[in-house]
Amino acid sequence: MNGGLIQFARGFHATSASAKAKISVVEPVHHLVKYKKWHLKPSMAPFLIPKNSPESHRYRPATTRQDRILEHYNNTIASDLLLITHKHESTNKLGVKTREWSGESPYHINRPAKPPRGNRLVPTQDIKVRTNKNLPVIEKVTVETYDKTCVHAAENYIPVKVMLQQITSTKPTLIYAKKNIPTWNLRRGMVMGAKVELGGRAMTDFLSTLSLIVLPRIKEFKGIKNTSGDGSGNISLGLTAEDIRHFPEIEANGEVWNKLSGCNIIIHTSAQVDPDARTLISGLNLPFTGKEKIPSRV
Amino acid sequence: MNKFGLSNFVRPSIFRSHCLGSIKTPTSVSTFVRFARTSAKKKNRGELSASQVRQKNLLSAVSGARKVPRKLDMCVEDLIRHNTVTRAWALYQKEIRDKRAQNLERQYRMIDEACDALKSAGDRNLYNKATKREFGKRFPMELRVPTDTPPKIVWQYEWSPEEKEKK
Amino acid sequence: MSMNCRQIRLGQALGRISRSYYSTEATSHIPSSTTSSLSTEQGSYVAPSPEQLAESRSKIRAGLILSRTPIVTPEVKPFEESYYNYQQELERRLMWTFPKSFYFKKGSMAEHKFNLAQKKPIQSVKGVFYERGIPDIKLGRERRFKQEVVIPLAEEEGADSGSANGADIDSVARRIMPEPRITEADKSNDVASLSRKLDRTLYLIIKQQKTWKFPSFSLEGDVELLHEAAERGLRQIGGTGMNTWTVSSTPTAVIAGTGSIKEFFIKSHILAGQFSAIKSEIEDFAWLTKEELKEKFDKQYYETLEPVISEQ
Repeated sequence: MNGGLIQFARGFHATSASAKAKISVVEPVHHLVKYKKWHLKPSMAPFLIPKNSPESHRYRPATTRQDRILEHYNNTIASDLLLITHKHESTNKLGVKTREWSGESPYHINRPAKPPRGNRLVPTQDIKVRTNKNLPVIEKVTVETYDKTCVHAAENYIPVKVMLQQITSTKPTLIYAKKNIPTWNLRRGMVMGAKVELGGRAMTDFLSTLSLIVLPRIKEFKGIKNTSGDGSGNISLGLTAEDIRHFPEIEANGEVWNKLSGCNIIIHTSAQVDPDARTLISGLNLPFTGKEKIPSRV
Repeated sequence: MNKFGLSNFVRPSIFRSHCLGSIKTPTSVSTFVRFARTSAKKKNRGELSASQVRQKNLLSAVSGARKVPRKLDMCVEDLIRHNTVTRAWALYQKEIRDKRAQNLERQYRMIDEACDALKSAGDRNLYNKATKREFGKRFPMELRVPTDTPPKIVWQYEWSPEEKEKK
Repeated sequence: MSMNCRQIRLGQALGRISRSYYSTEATSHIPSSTTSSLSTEQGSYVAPSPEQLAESRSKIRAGLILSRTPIVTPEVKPFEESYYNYQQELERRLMWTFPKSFYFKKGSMAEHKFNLAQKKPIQSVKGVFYERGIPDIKLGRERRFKQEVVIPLAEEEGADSGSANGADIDSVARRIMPEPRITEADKSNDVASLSRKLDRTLYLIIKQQKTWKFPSFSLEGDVELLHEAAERGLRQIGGTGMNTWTVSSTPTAVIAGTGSIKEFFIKSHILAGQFSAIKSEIEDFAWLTKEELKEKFDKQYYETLEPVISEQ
């Protein structure tokens, strides 16, 4: 958008605007894949085999059994959701956007765009008309744990990491601090905890265990809070260290775990707004509680 | 319940958990050794404290050291068989997916058609109320996600409206 | 000043462009003919008189598609089963060795029992010819094959066998015995029962004037809505002992009947209780799957409603 406008305005630089482009726009576009020379040495050859080939050392079969939650979604929930979220003769709703400068004055060049109108500082996404093609689905589940004590004893990431692997059956990755926070004695690059992103059968297994075994055993659990959600269809809930003990994988040898940490579970859906995501998640026998606030732009 | 407190319909993922990591020996082992050396300044050089032993056991449970099986070595015939099966499965899944998508599209058109017909049916109040988007809609907890085998009581035949009021 | 004005005008023009872009995209899924007719209608809509309203309401009927959702997972087809088996074998072959020391304390009785239950792999001895290749054993596992972990359960089974068929159904310690997926109602083909065909969606259909159809009811009063009429009507013909959940107040399908009567279908699920037919209202009723519905229904009726009826 800016590039188009720049052509009309008189620039104060010696080179033309098009010459400053950082990407090649003339086809064929070269060098789309970045590589280093050492990537080409013979010992790297195994990594060039695609992961889904049994010749690769990273190969793992994914479809080992029927997926009960996926089947339920396809057989019952999808068509019900289509009816529940249907709105007759609705139109796309434009989200609030940042406002570009008109480009009439040379001073407009490189001037940052104005924030959206009103008291909202962050632009919002458009809400498209609900059709059969954009029905909400659960895309992935993230389980993350932060441990404060890692600041003083870095090795405390170990029980966190092992715990996450046990309850999700997927290898976690460590979370590192991105910046210094002096009041927490946190410096950039320090380990803060671990997280794991689940998809496919590992995800549905985790949700099954959660809804059938773990949540029903938590006495004070009434449901996921209706206020939970980030505004674009991702709902989260938290479990305390005591709640984690209800996972059968932890319960099986509870004496090994002298210290457990709680975790955040974020259910990422493709719903455009939170109310749709909640309706979808409630179909997996995960209850909700509290008062729901419907966003005005729905 | 079996030894691990698992009921029948939940697969024991404790066994699966060890098949998903990377094949390389995790760097965490060396991290541990480094930290053991620095903390061994106190009294017993080379001896680990109780908490260190616990952490070592935890790490060795998830590390791939000596636990990784040999790489698959399929002969050419086996590879061809594998690729054929994989392609057949992908085709089968695509057929199911396409059929499902087509069915959903037809359902969507039917809903639209019904709403159009209701609008021209003469009662505008009926149309407005019927097509109003309902928020706060939740699937009931009684609508269970199907399991591999049925529950002990397959269907609750005795039910009265008072039961709903109690809740 | 003039620049500001121009800026605003440009902004308005941009807004108009984006708005028109969005509106065209939004209406693209509705056939153009219906859109135009609707918009003219909306422009000239006048509130009808009470007589007109009553007449138009008498031509609307609320149909009900009441279903019992599956209780067990779908039957696995032979191709699926063999594919799953193949993938499972590969998965077990590529699994890491079971970390026994994590679950059983060294030197404990539990570890001893576990060790006894395991099958020992063949050790490699120098100078011996091995038909399947030289064994490669690490942590008691043959690395070239899948590991078979045997969980020692024999003693527990013996202890629990008494209570397994006992009356204490609520006991936590009881052994879990899987129930059969085929029930008594399946064997006797009792179409009035809700505990048949557990892996399929069952639909309630009724027989009136010798034809099988989904239940359908006329609207009562001036303000009754479609889903209210459907729920009320269902209780009139089937009693109040049913817990149902209406999916939405929006109709899922429409069928044009004789004499400009339109029948709008509301979707609903039965959660508990049963349909006990009141004989004066209906001749017969049945809970049927999609294939069985095809046999009972009139051909055109079935084909119109076919997409709404679940495959599974």
